[in-house]
Amino acid sequence: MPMEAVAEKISFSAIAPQDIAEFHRQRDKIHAAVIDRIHNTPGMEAIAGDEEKMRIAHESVKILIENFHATVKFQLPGALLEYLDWLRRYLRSRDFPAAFLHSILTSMRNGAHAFLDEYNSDDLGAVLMELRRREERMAEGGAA
Amino acid sequence: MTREEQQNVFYECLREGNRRRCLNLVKEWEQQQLPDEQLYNDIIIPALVHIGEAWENNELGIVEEHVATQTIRTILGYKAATLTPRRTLHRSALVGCVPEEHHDVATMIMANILEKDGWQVMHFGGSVPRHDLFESIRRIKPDLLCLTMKSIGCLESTIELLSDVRATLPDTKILIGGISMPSVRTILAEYVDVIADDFQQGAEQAARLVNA
Repeated sequence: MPMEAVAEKISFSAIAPQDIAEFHRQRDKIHAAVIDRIHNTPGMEAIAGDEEKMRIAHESVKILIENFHATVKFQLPGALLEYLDWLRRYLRSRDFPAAFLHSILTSMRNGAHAFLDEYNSDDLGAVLMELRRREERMAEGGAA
Repeated sequence: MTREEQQNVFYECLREGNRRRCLNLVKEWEQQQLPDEQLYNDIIIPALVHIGEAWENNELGIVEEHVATQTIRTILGYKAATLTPRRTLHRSALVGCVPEEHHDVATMIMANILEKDGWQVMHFGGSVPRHDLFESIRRIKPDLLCLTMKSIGCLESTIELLSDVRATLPDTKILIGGISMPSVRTILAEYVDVIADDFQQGAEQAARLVNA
């Protein structure tokens, strides 16, 4: 059963179109901030010091930011959850720490707050926090 | 050889990177009158899905995954070079991926199927920017624009392209495939004539769209 067919607890409806458009415009800065945080987060040293893992991290963050924008813009939370499920499995298979995915969601939230100066980043941040909590539960082996 | 045995032996050869054996298998099955649609749907696509899963699970490296994909491209190129159209439709189809989409193997299969069904096919593959694709569509004015989409990140540029095509070339029919999520299909339905579930259904509906 596709992920979107089961419970849709996450909603994007509170996010204003101009805010997600600004998030998209600032995507390169947000990407850079997320990558920077990998280098400065305790527990992520193994990733920061591994060239291949950093390549995967760069690519994963880029695609996650793109997919977050597209799924918020078109109100497709199920599609984002499905992508996150795929990404979590993929990162595990590459020996990334279980905390990696919720750590980058936190960094995206911080990046949104930092770079959406004239816009409202609170609703975006709330969704990213909700996604982070979901990832934490998944990392602990719980249900979504 | 049962279908399951065909799937298994093809997948093993593909995974080993044995291009010659994969090609020979396809030629053997061709001699045994295996229909192209069954080769595509029952053997090639499942094998590619398994290869993709093996890469996702880190059982295969990027190079091995690309070797498998290139082998499939070679086979589809061979099929394109040797196919005989079953009729002539006098209709043109422009076939490829939605803007910025890189996964183009499905477009090669669709191009082969449409060509066999008598379409005059132009196949551009993948990784084309939206603006360039729109300009070419406007110049070529195909009877059918046949696109595939896999990555959700392409949705915005796809909708922009389809809106532009609809506004500029109202007579061009639009078919899109590769989309499984119901919510994404609902959004795209507004901009296209057909959302195809599989290759054969896509080809049949494409012919119906132009009254062929």
